[in-house]
Amino acid sequence: MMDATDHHKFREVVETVWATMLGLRVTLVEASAADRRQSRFVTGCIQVTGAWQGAVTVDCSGTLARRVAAIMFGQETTQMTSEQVSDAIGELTNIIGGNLKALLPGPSQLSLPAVTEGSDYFFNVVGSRTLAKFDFSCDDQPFHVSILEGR
Amino acid sequence: MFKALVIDDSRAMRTLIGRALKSSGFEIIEARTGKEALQRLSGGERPDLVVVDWNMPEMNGLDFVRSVRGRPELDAIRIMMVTAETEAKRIAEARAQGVDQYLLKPFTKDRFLEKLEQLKIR
Repeated sequence: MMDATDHHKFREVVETVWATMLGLRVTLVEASAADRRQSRFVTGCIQVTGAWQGAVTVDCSGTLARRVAAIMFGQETTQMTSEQVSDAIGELTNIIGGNLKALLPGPSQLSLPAVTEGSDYFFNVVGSRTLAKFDFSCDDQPFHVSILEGR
Repeated sequence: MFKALVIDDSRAMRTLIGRALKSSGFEIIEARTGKEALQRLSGGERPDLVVVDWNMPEMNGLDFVRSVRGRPELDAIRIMMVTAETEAKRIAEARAQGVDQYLLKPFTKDRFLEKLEQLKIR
């Protein structure tokens, strides 16, 4: 079970990672399902195995994903290739996953991150339930972080 | 000029770390995995510093460190592990295997340079 303190700590991890690695401020918002269906999105997923079993997903708009990649690669957003975007979101997912793992029962290990990109797709980690989901906005671009617990 | 070998399966992270090292006067060489890095060392590369991630395909960072520390001719190389692996037990394990400096992701450029300074390479 997750209480309000855990929820706050999970949220803080995400905010800290974005501020420290990218220099970007994020705000917790109400989710918009319409945005999610109509836009191009990039989703990173990392599995956690061990004392706690589950996964962490980071799901952000294509526009925001390109901005993240541009910051990490030190180039212009327009110069970013799909490979660079995928690499950057994979690494961001790895960092968020690693730091969230520290708040969950251990010891446990992280898998390598997997990344998918497209529009109007549904991402599912089979056999898991959502332990927590956070809907953020960064410069009016949506991104979501989910902690999925294995059943 | 001092030379650093940056090992991370993420090109974004290699770029980011490489930028910080270049600003500090290092020449950079890169590898995507521990295995690729070992091949470079076996081929005669002798960096002053290795910056290595933990979680990588083929050979992880800890196995890479074990291999390097098992070869006396590579003793002079300083090793900094930069990783999202936050468990205290695993950090202690990395230290015990010969990691000289440990930096948790996320990090700022200033924090990275602070850790680099503590290695006293120059």
